Amino acid sequence: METIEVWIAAICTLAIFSFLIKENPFYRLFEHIFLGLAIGFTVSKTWIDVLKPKWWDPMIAGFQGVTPYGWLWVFALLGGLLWYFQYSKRYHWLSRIVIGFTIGAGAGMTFKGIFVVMIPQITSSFKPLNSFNNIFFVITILCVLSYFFFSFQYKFRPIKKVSELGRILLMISFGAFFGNTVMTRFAVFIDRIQFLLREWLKIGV
Amino acid sequence: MVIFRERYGIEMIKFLVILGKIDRRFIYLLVVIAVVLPFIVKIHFPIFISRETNGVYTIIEQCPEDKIVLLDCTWDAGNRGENWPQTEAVMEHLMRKGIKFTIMSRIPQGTAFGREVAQKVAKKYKKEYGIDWCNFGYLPGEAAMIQALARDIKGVVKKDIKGTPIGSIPVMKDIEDIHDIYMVCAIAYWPTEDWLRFVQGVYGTYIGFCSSAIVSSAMYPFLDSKQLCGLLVGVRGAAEYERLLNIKELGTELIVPQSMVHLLIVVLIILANIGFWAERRERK
Repeated sequence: METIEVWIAAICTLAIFSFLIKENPFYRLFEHIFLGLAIGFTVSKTWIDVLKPKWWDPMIAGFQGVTPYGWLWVFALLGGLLWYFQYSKRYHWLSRIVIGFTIGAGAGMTFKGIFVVMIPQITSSFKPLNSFNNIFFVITILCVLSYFFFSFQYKFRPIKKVSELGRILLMISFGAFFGNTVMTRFAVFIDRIQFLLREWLKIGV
Repeated sequence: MVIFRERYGIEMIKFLVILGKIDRRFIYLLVVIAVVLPFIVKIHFPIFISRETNGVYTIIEQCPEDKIVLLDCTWDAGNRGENWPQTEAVMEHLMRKGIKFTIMSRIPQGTAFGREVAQKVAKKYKKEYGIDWCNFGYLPGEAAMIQALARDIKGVVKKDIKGTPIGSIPVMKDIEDIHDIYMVCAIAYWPTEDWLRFVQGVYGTYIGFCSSAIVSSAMYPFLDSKQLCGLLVGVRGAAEYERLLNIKELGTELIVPQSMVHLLIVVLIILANIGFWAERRERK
């Protein structure tokens, strides 16, 4: 059984890698299989792990009289169905009720979270200028902030230079981001090569 | 420049121009060679421990006996290459130290991967499900779920992945809320900052992130502000963690081809830039 699993995984991997040569039907077939599998898995898992135990079963138990207020879960379904009124021109306003609830809850949580996350960030940026790292950190913050200050023209030469330095420092950070991107992409590729060599072809085991 | 042209002539410039126009299929071939070679021939690169990796290790080392660690395994096949070795290294540490832990996932696929890694490491240390660790399964709801989980774990998670009521699982016996959880280790392509917003910022619980390298740059400010106790950056983080544990597992194996391919990319970037420079010279 394990051998069959490894062979299926190897064929799937090679099918996706075949795109590197050129777009082909073999690649497209497996791409559609993956999409179908992912959606099917997510739907079934959501039903089995979430909707059935946390919504369907308590609601049915409520209707059968096993629990006193379980039937109230039916309102969750009605509330959820309101989203679909977005497709109706006449009753579009009904969807706004549930959208309002969602935006309100989201905004509340974001408002709460933003202070908890951002305040420590701001306070930690006030560093004593007693080491090279701290000095470099503060200079970078000031230069980058000046680059993003758009309210006046940079006619004053020193300010202009500081802003230009901010742009260079941003470029360096983008370079770091790009370097990390390369690292992640290759990590994914190397993992698949490791699988093909070690588990499928049994090379170097 | 004039000296260069006089000494090597226009022929040399034309040769250098070719460097900037290497066929991409040839580059693919070089990449495959750089990746495959370390799996066939034994190559070693030194591994140095970074401050961020050491942070996760040190905090786990200090875990008290009466508390557990929560592993948020929100990763799937798409980032298996980075998150699997990270999960394995952290679980290895937890099981070796005899620290009890629980797994959860914010995506459906994550529960299966978390369980697979736990079972693999458990075999090595002869640990048992339910006594040494348990699996909450898939917990949807993002920020709302995290807030509710922090207040009342058994209220949010009624049963584990096998359908056993949480209250009857030995590892969860005295665990009620976030105060009984020593540390949350979020392992994901992009670990959610909701752990910082609604757990670290409110309850002061230790939070460690194991992220893909691609997003790690965005995580460093949280380390600096001490909101994060540590960070494992991609395969590098896993390899460093294995070095701290004095083991050679998946992370140590994968970091060698990773370093090889990075060297190749650096050489190719230099060559391409020489080609670009030569092309401009040629045009002039």
